[in-house]
Amino acid sequence: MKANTRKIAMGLLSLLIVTMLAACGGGQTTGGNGSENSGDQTDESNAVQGVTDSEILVGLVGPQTGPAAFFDASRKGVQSYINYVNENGGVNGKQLKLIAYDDQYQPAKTVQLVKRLVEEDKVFALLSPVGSAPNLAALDYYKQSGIPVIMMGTGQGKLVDPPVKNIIGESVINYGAEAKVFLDYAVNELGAKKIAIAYQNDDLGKEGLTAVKDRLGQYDGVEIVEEVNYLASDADFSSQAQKLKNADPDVVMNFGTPATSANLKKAMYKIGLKDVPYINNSVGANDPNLFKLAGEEVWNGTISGATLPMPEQSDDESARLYVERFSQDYPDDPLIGVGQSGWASAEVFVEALKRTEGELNWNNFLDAFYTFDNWDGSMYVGVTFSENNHFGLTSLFMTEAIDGEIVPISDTIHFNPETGDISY
Amino acid sequence: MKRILGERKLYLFLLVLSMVIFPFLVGQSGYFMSLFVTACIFVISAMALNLLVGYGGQISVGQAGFLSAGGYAVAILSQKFGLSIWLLLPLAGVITAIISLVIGLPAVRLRGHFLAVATMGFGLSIPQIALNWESLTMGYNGMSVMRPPWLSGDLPFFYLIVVTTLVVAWIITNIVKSGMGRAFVAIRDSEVAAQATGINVAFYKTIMFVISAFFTGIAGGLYAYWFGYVSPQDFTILTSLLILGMVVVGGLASIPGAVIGAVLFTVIPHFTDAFIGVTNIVIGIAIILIIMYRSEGLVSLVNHVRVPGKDDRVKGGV
Repeated sequence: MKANTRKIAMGLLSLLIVTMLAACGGGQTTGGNGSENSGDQTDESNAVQGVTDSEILVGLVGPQTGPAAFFDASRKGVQSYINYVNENGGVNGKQLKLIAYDDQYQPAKTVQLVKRLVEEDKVFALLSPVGSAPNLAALDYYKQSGIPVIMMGTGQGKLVDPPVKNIIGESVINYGAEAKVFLDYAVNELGAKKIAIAYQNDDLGKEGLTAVKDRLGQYDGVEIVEEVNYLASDADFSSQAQKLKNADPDVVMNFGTPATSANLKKAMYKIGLKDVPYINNSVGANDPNLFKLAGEEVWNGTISGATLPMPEQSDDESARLYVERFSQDYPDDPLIGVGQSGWASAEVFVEALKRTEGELNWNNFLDAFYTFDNWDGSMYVGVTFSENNHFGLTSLFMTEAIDGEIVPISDTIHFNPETGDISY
Repeated sequence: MKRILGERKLYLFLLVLSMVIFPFLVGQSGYFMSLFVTACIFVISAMALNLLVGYGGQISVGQAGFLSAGGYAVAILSQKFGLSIWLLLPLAGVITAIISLVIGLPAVRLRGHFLAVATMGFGLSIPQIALNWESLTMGYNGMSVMRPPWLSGDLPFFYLIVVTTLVVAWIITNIVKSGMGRAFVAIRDSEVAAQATGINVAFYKTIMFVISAFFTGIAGGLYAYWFGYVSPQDFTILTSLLILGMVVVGGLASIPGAVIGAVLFTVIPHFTDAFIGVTNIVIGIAIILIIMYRSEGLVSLVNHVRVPGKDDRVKGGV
């Protein structure tokens, strides 16, 4: 009994010592910051950390390993743009330094690592932390610490609506905003009255569904004739396809991920539901690989939207730069997808740094975002912020899948989240 | 020197003292306190798993399922019924223990690889249930958990977790030394022999799972309160394997071993996170090295320097 208690005591003691050693190793700067980081956000607004004469520290948390590791391309996009900026003299003479940690898409790790970035590494801001659940988990800490969180890697609405001063923008268009634009397009441009909806049963799909339902009342005589759902892991879509077909809709809208979107359309095609316009959310459609996943003939005609151009087809200057630099920095990673949104987010971040007036502190930096009015200098077609709009990406263009390419079919469409207006 | 080392009270005093002053040593850094708390949560989970694997010889690769269940129990009950934390933490344990019967009852008939696969299935299914039972768990979005106002500061809650960890360590030590603990070891060494000496094998195997789940559930509850959020992404099969790794690396059938393993695996990422993709490799190498050269776990190093002849009575592997 005695011996064992002593061993436990020793074990726990070693726990303590090791953790303290860890604290000493990485935390030379810890002293006294406890009080700095408590207290509410208004006290923090003039705070500044992570900025020296020569350097600005930027933090990023996202999965680099584990099942969600493909999101790491977002960090690579950010890093690639930062490399480019640094090689060209930095921002106002300051070099950017990215500190990135691997949370393996586990929310508890995210929270812990965000605290590490803010309190130990003392970064100036967080750029493009990845994922809905990880960001939602860290949301309270974001609010409490007042750290600027810029262009989170998700389209989840709850993070930016209602707006919080220091939480700015998402690198993917808000799932709900996109769905509302698609509905408007279906009704006004395609003349649809009977809408059938398929959605993936998670935040991605449901936010789309809810948005469509919210907006439906604004259009006379337009109704939802069928709703079907599926799971991200589903492989068989024949029953959903059959239900969609039986409803005899004017348009089918789908909110899913690439694999499910491809399989659903395949199932629809198989039972002859091929002439009805099919609108798919951008997360599930903006990848030419879908022609391989679904079959070229099947995927042809799919309508979707995009906030970013297809990199290799575009003559957008920043897209060209991206193709050149990203393929040089990370030759093994695909150009299309999260790498692109990482790069474009970093462009937004750097632009805000440039626009910051006066001393570079959190308050001035955050204010700079409100000067973005449909700014098209990044790879995104337009970025807008205001005190009531922290979405950022509210401009998009419609696309259609034609013969192996995803082609723009409309000019830029703007969605105003404050009024709900959609303008073409 | 030996006399000082043998002073149990002195050790406990030093231990409690250093735990009390830890937050101040790190300047109340949210990160280091979180790291410490994570270590405590894994210490409880690893001790509870060691009860199953080390003492009872029942392999479980589903421990993350118990953590999830405990976390969700706290989240759901506090959100829907606003129960007090004093009720919720034990309740998280009790609910998890009841859920563990799902795996504990079949475990009576399973052993070895079959049991491992069954528990793995359990561990995999809990996040799926949390994901799809949306009316209860809010699905993919996860649930936020509010701490009671008087515990809203990190400091008081830190102490609550430290105290809970110490209490659980004390209880588990006593379970191991009790008649029940000896029954577990007997079952591990030979079920037939255990049965022959009058031990109700089916009963003890079930109770083993229930106890292990109870404490892991409490750890899950503490987790939910500390981080203020639970979601289906929190505890995956990787977490289960990691906890098993902690037990094996620290030392099977040794409570200090579980503590050492849990601490080690929590602290490793602190040093490796800055290097992309290195964390899992380091942990993997640590496991391989330990299994190759120190199959009794890191705790055997501590035992080695101790007075010979006073070794544990209950040693050995699965």
